[in-house]
Amino acid sequence: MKIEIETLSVSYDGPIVLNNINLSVKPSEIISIVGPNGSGKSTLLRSIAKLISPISGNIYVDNKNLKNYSRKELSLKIAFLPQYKSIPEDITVLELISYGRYPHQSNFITKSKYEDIEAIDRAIALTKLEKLQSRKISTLSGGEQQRTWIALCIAQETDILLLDEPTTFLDIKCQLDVMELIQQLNYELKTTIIMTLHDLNHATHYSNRIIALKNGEIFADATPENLINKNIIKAVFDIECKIISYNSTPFILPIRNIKEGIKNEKQ
Amino acid sequence: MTIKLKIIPVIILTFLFNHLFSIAQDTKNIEQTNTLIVSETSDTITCLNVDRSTSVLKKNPEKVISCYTSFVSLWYLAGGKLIAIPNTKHKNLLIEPYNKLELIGSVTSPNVEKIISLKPDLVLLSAQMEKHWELREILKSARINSLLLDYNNYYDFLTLSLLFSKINGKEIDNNQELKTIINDINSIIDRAQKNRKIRFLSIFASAIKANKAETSEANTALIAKLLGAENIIDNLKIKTKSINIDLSMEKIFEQDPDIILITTMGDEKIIQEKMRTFLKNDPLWSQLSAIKKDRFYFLPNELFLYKANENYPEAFKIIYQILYEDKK
Amino acid sequence: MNNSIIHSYNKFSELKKRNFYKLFIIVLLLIITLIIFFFSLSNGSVELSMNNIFTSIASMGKAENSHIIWNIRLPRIITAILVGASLSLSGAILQAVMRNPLASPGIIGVNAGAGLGATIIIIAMPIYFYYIIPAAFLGSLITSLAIYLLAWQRGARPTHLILAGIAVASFVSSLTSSIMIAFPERIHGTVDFMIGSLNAKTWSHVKICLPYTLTGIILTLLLAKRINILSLGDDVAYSLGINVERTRILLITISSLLAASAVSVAGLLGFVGLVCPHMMRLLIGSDHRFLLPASIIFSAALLTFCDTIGRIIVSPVEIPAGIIMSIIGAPFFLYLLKRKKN
Repeated sequence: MKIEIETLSVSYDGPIVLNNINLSVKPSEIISIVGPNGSGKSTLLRSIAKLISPISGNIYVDNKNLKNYSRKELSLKIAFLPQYKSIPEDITVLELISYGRYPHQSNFITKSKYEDIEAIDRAIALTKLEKLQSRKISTLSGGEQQRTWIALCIAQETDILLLDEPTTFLDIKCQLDVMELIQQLNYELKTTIIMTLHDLNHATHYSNRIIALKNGEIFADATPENLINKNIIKAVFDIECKIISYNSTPFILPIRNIKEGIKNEKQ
Repeated sequence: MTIKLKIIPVIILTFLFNHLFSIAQDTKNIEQTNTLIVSETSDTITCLNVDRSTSVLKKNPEKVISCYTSFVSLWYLAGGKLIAIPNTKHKNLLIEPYNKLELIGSVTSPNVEKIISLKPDLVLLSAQMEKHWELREILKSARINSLLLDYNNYYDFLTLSLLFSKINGKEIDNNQELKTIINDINSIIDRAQKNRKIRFLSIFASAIKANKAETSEANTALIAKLLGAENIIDNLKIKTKSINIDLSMEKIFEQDPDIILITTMGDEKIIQEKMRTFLKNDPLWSQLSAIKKDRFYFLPNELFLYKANENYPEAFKIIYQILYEDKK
Repeated sequence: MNNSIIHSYNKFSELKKRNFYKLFIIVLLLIITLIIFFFSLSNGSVELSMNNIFTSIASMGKAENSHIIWNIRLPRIITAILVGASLSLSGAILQAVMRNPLASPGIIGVNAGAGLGATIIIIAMPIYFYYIIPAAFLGSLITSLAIYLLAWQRGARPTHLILAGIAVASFVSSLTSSIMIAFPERIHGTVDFMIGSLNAKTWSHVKICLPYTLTGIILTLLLAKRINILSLGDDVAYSLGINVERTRILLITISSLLAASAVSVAGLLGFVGLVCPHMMRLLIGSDHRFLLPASIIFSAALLTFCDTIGRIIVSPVEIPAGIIMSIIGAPFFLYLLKRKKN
């Protein structure tokens, strides 16, 4: 299922946050959207999820204009995991994941169908939450909670998964866990994944395409190998960096020259 | 206060309450009335307030303010004069001599500053009004004398007549008007056919509910009782000192009074007409005998909601007619 | 393949066990309600035989001596049940929509609006006293609408709603107070309304409440799943296909109608809408498919019980149900809170 974004412009009651975005997403791609704060990363993601209306331009999901999708129809194609979620106190892991089946169910209080059970099963297996099923979510660690939310999205069985800063509140191990999970999802289920990230190295290692936004415009759109160079990073993030290679994997090391820092203060 | 002074008011109060609760007493002579007068000298008088405190007043006060509507004409009846009264809709207070007096705000919420600015010698306050209790404290700190009094029914009328007269340096015996009133009332009471034992219910009907029933401490209920009728509430052995109670509809229906006396807030004809229709058609009320037989009566506010004072004989007459002369 | 199906069903057995436990609690509540219903029917300021009670109900009030049961007690109890159910349901809905366990019908201005409507009639236009209920109803709805419009900014977010609610409720209350000050001799009537009681409720009150309560209950139970998902946050709810704004409007409307009908009939019973759903949440959890029925049944029972106590404790004088609720309800609520902590 592909996504086409044409001349998309978005504003929040005034200043333009996204300006003339053109983007084409192929099925089963993993795309990381990076950029400084305020560059429009979240806005772009939320626009695709139809949480914001553009002031101009169009987004096509599966060859159909987003404007023509009902909420229900869209929920069968796109799953969106926001940065901030609300957790009811006493809900268990299994219950939360089962909510992911809502778009596939009718409104009446019915028993779970076979397809639902299968989907939930698969989600739990992929996220390795078997042992934590009956636990209340409030008792889990941050990483485990995030895995549960991702399991909910998996149970939703959509072709496209949007994740807004999925690793921001997690420790190093959990971050790696989540990134590996995302990669595995893409590998096993062929889900198209678009995520916004702050960590450039995660973007480099776990996606096959990086889009760098600056001031609401696409500054660069390329594979990690082509995007990761000092000049582009300096232009987008306004920092110096050094790129090293380890096990033939590039790593970006942000550098700030200490002497320069003092010199700047004196000025 | 010494022990002696403390005991005297207690004894007097007990005496007073005993009388109020007594069922045997039919007629009342003013001399038999209990008094709120603790002690008296030639030019001062010590009075008992509802809060058990005493006030020492100079007799014949010149500048007196009443914060309660029902005190006004009684004070004049007892030989006194006022300089200010509350804002009120009471028809009788809209004519001479009352209409020339200063106004001190509403009964429920009198204007403290206005009262103090008039520099009164005495302020009459009602124990029924919450704000008046506060006002008493404020006036105390402004060194203004006040009296906090109960005025609920005809017995209070007698008590206050005596008190007010004494404060104004007058003797009851010389007050022809007062004596006529009391004699008129006593003769109506004598005529009353007490053996018929008519059972009544006296209620205060507001917009929200109509089953606020009056105990025999209340104005209307006491008049009916003195005229020989039985308040159905007295049967129920309710231990309360309050004037009205929320009575259960079930009980009202079980007791099925012969007569229902109704006081409404605002007695415009229209309200009473609408209420009449409501009572005749409401599934709860319409089943009562008194409603079915049209033996329910709306009472004029000037004589029953407010205390009738000089018109008490008229009030007694009206109830007498309702009880014994209504040909139904 | 068969093994994995069995394995999957077993996975849900833990969940099923807990759901059965919740269902059991609901059935228990239902039984308690029935007991309280009969307790309430057979007690009052007038002693009645069981025979009398049966014939009164069977004959629908036509038999001799059936007036007390059929016209006084029965409609009063039914009104208590409807009012309790409505207020609690309204509160539960609002607590979910606002994502705030301290939400109650008061927040959407229902109490303030009803108070204003009733006060206007009682004090300023007492001639029209039989319009008290419609006036209170209208007052509630207008106030709720005002709050919603005030909070609307391309959608009404819970925090905005709560703030707007506080502001509008204060304003409306001050209007009410001003009217009371302008006509101080007539304050009497309003006090009874402000406390909330089931005194002298008749079949006409039942008729007023019934359609709103029934519709509200049915609609809300149908939306129970949606309400569950709403509590995950607006974004997640959108992602799962729910039109959040439309659902919110619908739920707030249902909540307003429920609360407005209850409050206009019985006065301002503040406790029920806030605390009863919360008590049930402590007992049964926040899955609204169970929480909503539990709240409805529990508060119907509680209000009926409190009204009955108020009727018999100092019979034949009556204490308003609102007062008894606060006396009984508060300690019970604290007890539940303490239990939960442990």
